[in-house]
Amino acid sequence: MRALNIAFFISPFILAAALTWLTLADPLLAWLNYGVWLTMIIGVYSFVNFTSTAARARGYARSYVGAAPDLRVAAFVTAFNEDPSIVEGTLISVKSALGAKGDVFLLDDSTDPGVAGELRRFSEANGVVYLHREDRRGFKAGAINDALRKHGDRYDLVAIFDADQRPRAGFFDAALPLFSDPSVAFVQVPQNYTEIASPIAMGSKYQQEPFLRTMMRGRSGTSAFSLGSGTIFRIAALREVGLMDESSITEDAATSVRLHSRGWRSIYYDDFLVWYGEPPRDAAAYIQQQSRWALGYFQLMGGILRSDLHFTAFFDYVSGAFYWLKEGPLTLIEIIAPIIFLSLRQPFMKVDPVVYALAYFPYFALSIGIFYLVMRGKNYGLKGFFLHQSLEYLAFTGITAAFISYLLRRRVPFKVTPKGRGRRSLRSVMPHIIVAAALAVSIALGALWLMLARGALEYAIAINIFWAAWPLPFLLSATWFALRVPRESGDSGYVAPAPGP
Amino acid sequence: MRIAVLKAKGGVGGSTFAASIAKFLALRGMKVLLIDRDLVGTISELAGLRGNGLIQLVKEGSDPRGALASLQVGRGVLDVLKLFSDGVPVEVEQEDARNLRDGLTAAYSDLIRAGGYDFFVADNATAATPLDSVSGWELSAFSELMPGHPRTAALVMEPGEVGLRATLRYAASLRDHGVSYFGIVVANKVEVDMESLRSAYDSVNEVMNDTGARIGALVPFLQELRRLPEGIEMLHVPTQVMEVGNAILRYMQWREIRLPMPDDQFRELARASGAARERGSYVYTPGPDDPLRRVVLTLSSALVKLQSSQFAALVKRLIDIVRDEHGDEAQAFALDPEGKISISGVRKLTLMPAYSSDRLRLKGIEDAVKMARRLAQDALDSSGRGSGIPSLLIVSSTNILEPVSTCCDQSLLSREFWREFLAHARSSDPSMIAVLLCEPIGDRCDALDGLADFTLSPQSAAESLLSIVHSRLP
Repeated sequence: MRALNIAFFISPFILAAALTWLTLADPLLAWLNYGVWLTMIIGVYSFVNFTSTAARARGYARSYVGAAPDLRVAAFVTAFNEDPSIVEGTLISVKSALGAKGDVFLLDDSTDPGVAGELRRFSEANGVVYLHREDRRGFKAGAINDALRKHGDRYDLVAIFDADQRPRAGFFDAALPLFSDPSVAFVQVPQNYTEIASPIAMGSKYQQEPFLRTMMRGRSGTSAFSLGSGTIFRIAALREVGLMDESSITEDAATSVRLHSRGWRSIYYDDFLVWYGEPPRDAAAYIQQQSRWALGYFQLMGGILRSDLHFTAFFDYVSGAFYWLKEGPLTLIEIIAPIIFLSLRQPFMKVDPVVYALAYFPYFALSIGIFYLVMRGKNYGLKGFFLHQSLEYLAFTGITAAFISYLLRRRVPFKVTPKGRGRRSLRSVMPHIIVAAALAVSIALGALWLMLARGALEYAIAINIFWAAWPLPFLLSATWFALRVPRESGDSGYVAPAPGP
Repeated sequence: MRIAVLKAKGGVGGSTFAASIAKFLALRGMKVLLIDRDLVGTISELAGLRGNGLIQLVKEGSDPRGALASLQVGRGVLDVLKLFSDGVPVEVEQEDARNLRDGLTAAYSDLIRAGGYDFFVADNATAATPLDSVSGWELSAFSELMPGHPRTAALVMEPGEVGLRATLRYAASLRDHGVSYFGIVVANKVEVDMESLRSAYDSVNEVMNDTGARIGALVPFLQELRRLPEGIEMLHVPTQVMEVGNAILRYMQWREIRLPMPDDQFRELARASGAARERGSYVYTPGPDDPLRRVVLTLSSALVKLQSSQFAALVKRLIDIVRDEHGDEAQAFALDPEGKISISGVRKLTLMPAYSSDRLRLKGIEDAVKMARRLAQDALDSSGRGSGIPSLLIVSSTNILEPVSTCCDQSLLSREFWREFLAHARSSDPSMIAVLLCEPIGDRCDALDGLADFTLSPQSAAESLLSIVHSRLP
């Protein structure tokens, strides 16, 4: 199985190389030719995976009734220097949702003594077990593992919540019955972005929709992975894989891969059971979040390739990596290719443009059509599509940077996406402005060239103008969103309470 | 199992007992052959069999299947075999039976082999013995055909000294002719005042002591049985006959008679009258919870209209009855979204949020029917119990559970929803007893009338004893 998986993984790269060899026009631009082929092939692989998960998602049915097994739950809320008012709201929600089914722990890695002190006071006053670490070894995964080693014996399940994700009252009632199946290692309940304070935040919500409403539903039972928060793990299963993976910055996905390759199952329970969630508010925060997720996923690839995953699960996981590749470096290639062709008048690929147009555009239309059909009736619509695409173009810089960091074997420091700050940031969209300008210039140059050109070249220029024009509205709107982040209302600033008598 | 129904005296309700126990076994999904060996032919009449019986059909060379009537009862089958013909003198039939022995045996064997029966119930003429040529032939043919097949005999009597003495004498003469496998003693037409019950109990107990029978039953005088109905479909099966049938079914399953705890009322009685239980025997007596017992014994569905303050007490009684009748392996599950039944011994089934959101989102009756099916299936699945062991599925707050929509009339919606829920629960798990608890104030109970096999409600609001308002099983 592993050999087949690896062969499958490298197939798009080999296929692209073969096509590059067949269509090479200029040896100096071989990299661009290869990149364009890889973009198309990876696009097809992703489309196939999307269609297959969407088909599986059609059969996604959540049980109406469950019988909760008698299992004890440790609910962990992880915190690192967040605004204590947010953390406290989460602790209260977790505590009231959990009731008598277990205990709530605050795993506080805060380095700010003011925050730590306040959280300790609050926890002690409200029956929350407060655990603080001085060394932040293993970051969030390390904090969870330390707490599990110390207290895990008394519980069967561990629920993990980020400081800003609040479970609703029925959270555990809905999730615990799913553990009556002994092969279930974890249950993931999706986060819900409720605090929509800016267009970026809104786009962020829409960008998650296809993933949360289709992909994860389709993957439930086979390869639905932990999203880091809103996950309940079976402690015995975690123990079997050596607890949470501390080597990855996306410890949730890495741990999921280990569990899945051991034959454990996971259930994705899609319902509105987490009632508070702050999406990134500004461009910098969004790019940083996407960059961190992408890097985590790239780091995961080694583990996925070495794993004993079943092919379906493997394809799902690999498609995740393909997605990040496509949204980062390959988006860059997609933008550069028409610019080079139109402004330098330098062909890099020997393909009959008519054949290309007849082959590729119907596929392109089909993929968008299927995407539309799948997302229909899920409150997504054209607006969602537009916001989603804009945000993907916004993040390509961060994702490309993450890819380069990965190639350089750099470990970017773990940073929590800044929340609730919301600022305009011209710097974070500077590359987008430059690229958009270059595209606009290329389109103009291309138009001039088109007037002179004859025959097949005419088609080639037209196709390239199309590809130069396609990302332009998304890039421009992304820039626009980045520059109009509303000012914060200013009520959530942290004020240390006066020490009691 | 073969049950021979015997009586010392006519008119004591022997044929009624034979027909009702056969009907109950069929209701529980068994294939039952009821052999009418009584020349009066009460049972054949009830089954709509007229004209020639098996003996004359064989004599004429006609198809012997003409002596067989087949009825679908619940999930089971009840076949009736008529031996004697209408209008033919009994002496002629007996002579024919002697002469046609081989032909009769061949026809009889074919019928029994083709039927694949689980149970045989043989009704007999008054004071029948194996010396009688027809009964003797049938018994020996059966023994040859099904050697080693378990068998028992039920003695049916009326309370009173005369009936008792006659029955004891009859039992003694049967023993002389090699019939000693008495298992059941039934006293019919028992008055329900304490004095009469005690005397009937003593009589039954005496016959049980004498014959070694281990199951006894006191069947009260029932209005429903004052006159026989026109067909077996309409025949009322007394609760105590159901209990006897259930005890036999459990015996078949476990190869031992698992005896229930006596009712409080009769514990004293049992002790006073020689403590039948200590010998490992039991007498089923009429009790105040008989309506609930009927639901439990027939593994039916029920709608109970009751104030929610009485839910917990009712469920407790139900669980006791289920454990009593079906053993301690029986479990109880509750779909109880408002927490109206929080008592120990009930496993709570959680209503998942997916249901709560779908419930308000349906577009028409078809959606409601689909939801009902899924709800029933998911409830059965999540009970996670081994199949075949009877258990209780209690559903409270019907109006909280049923879907709500502006698409259609709410009463119609409720009705179709619960109809499908009960039908689906029934068909996918026939041993699950589904009980809907509905509060007359607040819930839309009236819309659910007649959907379940039984509809029960207290006679007055203050009372907690239930009576049957409507039943699909006579």
